[in-house]
Amino acid sequence: MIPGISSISFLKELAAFWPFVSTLLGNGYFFVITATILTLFLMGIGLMVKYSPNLLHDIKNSTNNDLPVLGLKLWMALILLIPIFFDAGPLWFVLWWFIVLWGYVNKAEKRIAFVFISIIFMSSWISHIGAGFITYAHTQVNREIFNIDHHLSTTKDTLAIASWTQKHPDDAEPLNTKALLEMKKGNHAEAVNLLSRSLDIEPNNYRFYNHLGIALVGVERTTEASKAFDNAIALDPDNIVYYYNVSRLYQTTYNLYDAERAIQKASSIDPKKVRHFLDYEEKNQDNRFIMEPVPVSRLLSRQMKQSGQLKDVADSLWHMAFGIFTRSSAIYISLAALLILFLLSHLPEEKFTKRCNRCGKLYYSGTLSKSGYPMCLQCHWIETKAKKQMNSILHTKAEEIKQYRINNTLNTSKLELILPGLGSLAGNRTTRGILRMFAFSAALILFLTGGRFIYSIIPTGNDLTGLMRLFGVMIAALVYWRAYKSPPVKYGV
Amino acid sequence: MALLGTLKGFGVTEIFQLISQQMKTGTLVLTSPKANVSIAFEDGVIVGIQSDQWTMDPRAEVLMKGGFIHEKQLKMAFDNEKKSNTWDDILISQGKLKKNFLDKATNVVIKDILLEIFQWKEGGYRFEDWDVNTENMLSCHIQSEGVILNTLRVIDEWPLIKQKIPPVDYCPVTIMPLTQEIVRKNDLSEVDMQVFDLIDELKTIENIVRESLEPPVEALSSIVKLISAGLVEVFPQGTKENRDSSIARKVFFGHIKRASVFVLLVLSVLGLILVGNPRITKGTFIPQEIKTYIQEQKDIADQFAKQEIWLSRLDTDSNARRRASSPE
Repeated sequence: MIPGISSISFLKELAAFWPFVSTLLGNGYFFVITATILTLFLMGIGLMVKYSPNLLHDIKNSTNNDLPVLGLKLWMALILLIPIFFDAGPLWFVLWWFIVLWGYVNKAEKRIAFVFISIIFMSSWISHIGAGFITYAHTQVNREIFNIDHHLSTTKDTLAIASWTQKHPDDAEPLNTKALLEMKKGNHAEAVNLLSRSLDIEPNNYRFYNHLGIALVGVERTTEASKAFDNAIALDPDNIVYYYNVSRLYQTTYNLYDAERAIQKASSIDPKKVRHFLDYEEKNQDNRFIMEPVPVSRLLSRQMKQSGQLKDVADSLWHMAFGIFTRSSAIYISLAALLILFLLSHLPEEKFTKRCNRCGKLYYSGTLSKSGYPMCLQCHWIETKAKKQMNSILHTKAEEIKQYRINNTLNTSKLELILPGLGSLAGNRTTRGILRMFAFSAALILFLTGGRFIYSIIPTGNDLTGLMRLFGVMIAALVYWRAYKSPPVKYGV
Repeated sequence: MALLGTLKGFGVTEIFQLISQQMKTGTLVLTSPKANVSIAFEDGVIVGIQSDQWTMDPRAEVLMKGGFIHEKQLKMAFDNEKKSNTWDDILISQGKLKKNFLDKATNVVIKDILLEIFQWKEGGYRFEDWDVNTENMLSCHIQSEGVILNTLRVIDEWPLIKQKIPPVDYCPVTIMPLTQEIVRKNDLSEVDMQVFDLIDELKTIENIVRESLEPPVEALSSIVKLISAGLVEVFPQGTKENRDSSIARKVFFGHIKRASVFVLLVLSVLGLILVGNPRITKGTFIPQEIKTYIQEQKDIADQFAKQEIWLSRLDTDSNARRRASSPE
């Protein structure tokens, strides 16, 4: 997830660099999204494993047991795998399985279905943010701005900024960057002009005022420069850079008293940083005024701005997860799914086979246990009786329950070892099942990707993907160990 | 009066359970818009049942409909009935009725009435815990808990059986004789075998149910079970002469039906492949444009790496400085 960090101290320092922050957030984002999608998909498979016997039972009954079981099983497989015949992503499968198995799923699983539908509802925005991370180096001239701010620019970057400012005269940040380039060339008058335009667009941007002040010093308009710095201070009074620049301005006009006062003011806020500025100035006598780079947060928000490239990638991302329809139909799909599930909820309960959570018997009428799991009427009645009231009449039923619990313990334990969480899901331990599936999915994603989905455009110096893969293996081992040591259903508990 | 209330607050199961647990003696009177039923308990055991719907002894009706006694015999027995000698005693003493048929009829009546009252959702109950008088009641001796379990099982399974019951005027026909292996394989009970024995190609389902002297639900369950196991098939009444050809036709169409399951499946799969544009045929999961963007990120990073520019080597003090342009 964080490839390229060698130590914690580096992490703090690297947090000031936009490519690193964007990559870190992007990789984290994609890790969570992919792990969630995989968890939902595995849960869908779990639901199929759990409820396909019930579905087959109903299909057999509805065909009056006339048709060959193999044919019915194949038909059931066809019904469950219909999305495979379309341009459907994994989430269509999950949605389809929820719809087909809706009559069988328990309350906890229904809640997960509603969470899933809310994810579909938000999927357009989710893919937009994902696209913002994938295209972070290609949109809104962010890369060029960063390169210029950090003295990594090439002629290509300069030309890109110039072209962008011409095409997008309302975008203040590139105008500011262009002004910095003009100042570098000594063309302070043009810089003043560009920064004035920037401030017309964003009149409350203190960085622009600071840069305007510096540009005005360059054209020897010190009074106006002082006003520009004052504006910057008024808008961001805790920023020592502006006090420091004011002190340098006063120094240039030999107003040493006010220069010292401004330095003292800056020192009262952050003495260490002021000392650092002074030391740096001492070593580099020519560099006096301080200019600010574009904040990371600003570049992050810019990279999420709508653009043609971002839209295309967002559409592709959405298509990858869903498909069949376009991204703009996400909200309608979620609403349609909600409506279908609402209508399915109104089908009579007795139309669907249910498996008693206590004795494992398939039944049609029955009731629900206190925890919302299906229970046949016999077990529901026995549930309310104290054990001491058991007599010979109830003994047979009690034996049936005992035998089912033994078999259920063995079966769910086996399933849990095949896929962590599967046994828990089958044993109606839904929350535990989902948590284990998520941990397993996260481990699998870490192992397969090394936690790297996108790259930092400026290399961080280290590659931690191997370590991440190892971490993934460790998590998977831990999940399997838990599945072995703590089976989903314990006999006698 | 020990217990009084409505069935909305306290269900019939709970009332039975309470009486059984406390081993109560008394009479439970259940009232609903459909009927009023009195059940006598002795130490928690059901010893008598009476319903206001019964105009005569309900067992007589069961036995008469099942063909175990004739209407005339019954009428005569009723006419000669005295306090010490009831109609059933008369018929048994005359050798016109067997005791075990009477017991079975009792069982049918009791299970039927209990199944009915266990499904009541509306009505009231009162339990009078004084000495019971079973004189006008149908006498029996049934453990309450057994009744509860059995009735709940029937209610649980009834929705499935209900939808598979063939028309009651149809005649079942046995397809093959019962062997021990078939009985074991299909887990056939005594009732199932008894029902199977009653099938003779002439009796309708209704007649078989009546003649079985089993509660209708149990007898119908057995018929459904036998049909599901492929041991019995049903045909409309009065078509005996057509049955052989019907069976042959049915067997033929059965084969067609079985084959059509697979044929339709293959056609559906082919149709879906043609219509659907499956993603798996496209071969790639990650779209090319996403791959391109990520590859470009990597290429840019490689270029910087070639120039030995690393983020960790950049000056974290990114505040750029500008030369003082004004004269000192």
